[in-house]
Amino acid sequence: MKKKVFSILLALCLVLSACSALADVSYPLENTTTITIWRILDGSIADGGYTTSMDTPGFKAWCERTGVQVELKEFADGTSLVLALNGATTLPDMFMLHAANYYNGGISGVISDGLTIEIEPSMLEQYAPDYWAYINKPIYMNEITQLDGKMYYLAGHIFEENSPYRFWRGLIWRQDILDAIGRDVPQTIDEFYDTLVAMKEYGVETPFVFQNKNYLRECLATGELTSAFGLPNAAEYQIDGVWHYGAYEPEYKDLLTFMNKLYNEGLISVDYLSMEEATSRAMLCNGQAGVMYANNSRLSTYVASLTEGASLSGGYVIHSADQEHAMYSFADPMTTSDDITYISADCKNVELCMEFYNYLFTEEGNMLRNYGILDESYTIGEDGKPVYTELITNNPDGHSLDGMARSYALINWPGIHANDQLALRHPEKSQIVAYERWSDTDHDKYVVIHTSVLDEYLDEYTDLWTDINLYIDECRAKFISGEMSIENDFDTYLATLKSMGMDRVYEIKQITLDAHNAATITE
Amino acid sequence: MLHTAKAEHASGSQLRQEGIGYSIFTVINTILLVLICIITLYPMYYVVIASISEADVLGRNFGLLLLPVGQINTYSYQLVFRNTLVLSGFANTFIILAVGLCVNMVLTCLGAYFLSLKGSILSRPIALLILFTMYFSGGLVPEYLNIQSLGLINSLWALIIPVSINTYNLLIMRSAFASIPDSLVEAAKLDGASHFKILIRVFLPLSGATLAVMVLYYAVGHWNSWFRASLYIHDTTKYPLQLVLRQILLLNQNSELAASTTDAGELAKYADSIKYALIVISCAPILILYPFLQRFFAKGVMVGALKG
Amino acid sequence: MQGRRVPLGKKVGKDLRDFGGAYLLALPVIIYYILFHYKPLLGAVIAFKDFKPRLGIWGSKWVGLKYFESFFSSFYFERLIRNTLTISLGGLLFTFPCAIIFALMINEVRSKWFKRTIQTVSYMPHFISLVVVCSMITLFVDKDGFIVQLINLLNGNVNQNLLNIPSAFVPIYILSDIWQETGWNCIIYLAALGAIDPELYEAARIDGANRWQQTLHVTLPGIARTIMLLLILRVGSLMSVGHEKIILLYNDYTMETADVISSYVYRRGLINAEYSFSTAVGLFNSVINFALVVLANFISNKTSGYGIW
Repeated sequence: MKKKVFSILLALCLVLSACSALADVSYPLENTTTITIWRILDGSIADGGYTTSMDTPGFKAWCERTGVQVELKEFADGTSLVLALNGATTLPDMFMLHAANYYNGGISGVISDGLTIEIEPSMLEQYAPDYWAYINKPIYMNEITQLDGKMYYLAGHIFEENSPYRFWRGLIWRQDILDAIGRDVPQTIDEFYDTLVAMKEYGVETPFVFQNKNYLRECLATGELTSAFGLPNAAEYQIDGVWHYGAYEPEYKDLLTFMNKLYNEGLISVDYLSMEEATSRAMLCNGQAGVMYANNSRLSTYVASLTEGASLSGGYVIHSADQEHAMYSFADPMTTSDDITYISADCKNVELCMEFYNYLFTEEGNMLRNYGILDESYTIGEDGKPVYTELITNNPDGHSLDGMARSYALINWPGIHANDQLALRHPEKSQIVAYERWSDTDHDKYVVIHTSVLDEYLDEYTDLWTDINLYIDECRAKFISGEMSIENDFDTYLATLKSMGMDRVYEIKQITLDAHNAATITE
Repeated sequence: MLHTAKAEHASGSQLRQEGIGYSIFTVINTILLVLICIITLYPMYYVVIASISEADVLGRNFGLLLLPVGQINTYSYQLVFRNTLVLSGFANTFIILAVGLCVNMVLTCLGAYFLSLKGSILSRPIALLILFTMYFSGGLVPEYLNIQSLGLINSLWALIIPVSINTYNLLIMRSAFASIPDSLVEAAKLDGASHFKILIRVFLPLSGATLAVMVLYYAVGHWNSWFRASLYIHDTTKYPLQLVLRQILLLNQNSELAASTTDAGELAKYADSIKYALIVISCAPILILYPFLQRFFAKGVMVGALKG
Repeated sequence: MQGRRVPLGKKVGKDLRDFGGAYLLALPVIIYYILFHYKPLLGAVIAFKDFKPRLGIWGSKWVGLKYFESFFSSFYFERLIRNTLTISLGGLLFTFPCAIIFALMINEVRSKWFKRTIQTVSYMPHFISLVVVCSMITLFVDKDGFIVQLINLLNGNVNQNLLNIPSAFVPIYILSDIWQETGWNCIIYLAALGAIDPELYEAARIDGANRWQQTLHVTLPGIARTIMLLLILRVGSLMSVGHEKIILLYNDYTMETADVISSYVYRRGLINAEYSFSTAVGLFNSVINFALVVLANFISNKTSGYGIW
């Protein structure tokens, strides 16, 4: 009798210990099958000398170390991937897609069309514990959870907490010109204006330029100057859960007045809406412009074309004198939309897919993901931080850094965008300072995280917004150039927007925002 | 041949009789044409010199160029050609051209002959039905499903068969056939020729110029196409050249179209030079093909030969 | 045969005897059109449905004219139509004849090498990508550029890039089209000119006709068939102004003359990758285009005797 009890107890102990061992996934996995993945082609691997990601050292390492075979299909662009998904008789096991850009209805569309399965926390705990441990924080969960409180995809690129690299766009100043006129990089709106005037007096023909015809709008929409007028930005934002659109608010009038002033005094070009990219960039390099708002985060992109003695630096997001820093700025969300990974409804081995994905979040996997293969593509530097090898930075066959980095590391796949890795590819001190300045804002306080409206309002919203957006754009240009008088016509402008249905847009957006806020996780 | 020679000789002596009016016209015509030559040549010239200019200096430059700036180099071409897919891209495009042109020309000629038949009950209604397809199509999704159902996905045939006939070209070819004098057709019929023989012996030889234009149109169409390939070809080694070039261009662009994250292309500063290099590469084959086809545009070569 | 009714059976029988061989030859052509054009055509019904891919074309919900109404009730509907038609008609009136005139000019050149050179050079702009062409245009009409200086000399008062001025958009669009496309468009006319029997010129000369009269009575009639065909087809693309060039050239100032149907649909697609909406608009355009082509063909047949069938 005692023997029987003892053996039962022994068996129980064994079982229990086996269970706890399951909480950690150990690689390489055993008893694996082949999984199919579809995604958009990353053209830069061709720059590294590969025709498909399956051949790249990085991806091969991922497969080897996890023991999983992958059949990868890469599509030329999003349209092609969506067509294939729609026409497929069987969906691939996993697919990666920027749904908002290519899929009708965005992420909601993918979900409501039944392409993907629900991702339950209990499954993640078991099969993707490293991923789950990282992502299970409000800052991330609030982005990836849908309104019904459930998750339907695995995150794409993930920024580390408090990463300044989310803020990769901002003003770029000609530091040498600032030095020549004896001024610091401006912070307040008055400093900004005075600096532009001083530049003009110094001989800079057009102090403030924009990358191309869309970038003045972008500049205002991402709040580079608007905080000074009490407006987080000229596009959408929220204050304490109430949705607003900057161009419909009273403070917009002051912003327009300021821009109109810049226009009249020649501080921005009369041709800002018809200036070619090549021209504006040339102007900045030649000293015919002093500050630029452009899409590129890397100052080094401009450096090669600068004249002798010139230098660039990133600028602060402009605010008013009584604000400590700006209210808003350009920023990526914590989890980006590229490479969001869906496990499809036809997936035959959900657990295996999760385990495969999870590898990128283990310590080893994270190093592979960000830096590649030890002693081939990176080594550990003196400060304990990884450094790319010559193979990557100065490739003997002439391949570019990006091409090599993306072939050996998996930086264009899901996973944590390590701050250190981003720092590696932006080594200049001025770049680091630029990021610090661009990120010094209250962005997260005012941002509207979920920008797509609820499914049931989507058609109505698209109808209204296409026309309203155009009207706002046209009027902005006319107010700034003086064709429409801000004094006399601003109220007519607001009234016309009202008659076009702007209040209904506010309603729809507010309903959407409320729904998301109600589902917000705060602990 | 005899007729042509006589015609040219005659026109020489006519010149004296044409008089002042015509001479003035000739001078003005020539001046205008030279001007047109310059304004149409300049953009291409600009593209070529920009593609061999030093990228950094080009980046500082404004406006129109007369000479390459900075140190002349072929770096932008190197950037393009070091891409592993460019060579396979060329190969694939040549295959598509070789096979595709044959399919195109055969089917277009057969179709044009049919549509130009005089007296046939069927040719008119079918012409209308064919014209209809120029204006109405199912759209991307039904076309994709159709191609998939025929098993053509990821095959180069998907870039050849579904575009076998371009209706616009078909109608032009038909028009050329319809202008062949009935007398010639009747004569051949009297000799007992079958429809096929008539097509080969009468229509084709007399339509040399139009056939040449068709070859040009179809060839350029194949050469420039990338969109269909982006939808139907999933294997990068099967990408035709233009799709490869387009990927290269997108990769190096410094605008919203590129993957806009912190990883903006380091090569963005070469974006402009690459744009120009790509145009030169794309244009090159046509420059080779066209002079070859120009021979067919000579006045009445074919008509003369047949009549004589 | 006039007045005598031939029974249908006999007619068909004769037709098959006369043309049976030709029908056989045309079979692959017919099959091609059925397989690759008519089979997927049924999918155009997406325009009337709220298309959801997993439900398929037939499973998706029927919404009737919803997307058409959505398009027609746009705040900017009239403007879009007006701009589209203005640009199309401008192209028809100006760009279209230029290719013909240019071909005639080349035809008058006696020197073989000059003729060859012009032909080879003039079509080059056609191959320059639209992005680069539009950059060049932007630079060309800049306020420091040659065109603006010329305008100001002639009593103008322009101090900005011409692309900022709404009334300048259509002329810039059309003139740049002429510059880019004439050399390529004239090729087909050169081929047609080459097909004119030299004996006709000979005969005209003998009758005492000078060059101008020869052009009027031999050359133009000789290419009339080609001109009419291309004209009819051109009329059939009246509603189709492509979005690429428009989007590259327009800006917030010139929307009132530059925004066309295709650019509007494109922008809408950026907000929400709608499929049914763009299909509906495409269908609307196609119906009008097709009606115009049939009408143009009918008129052409009645007046000049040339047509598509």
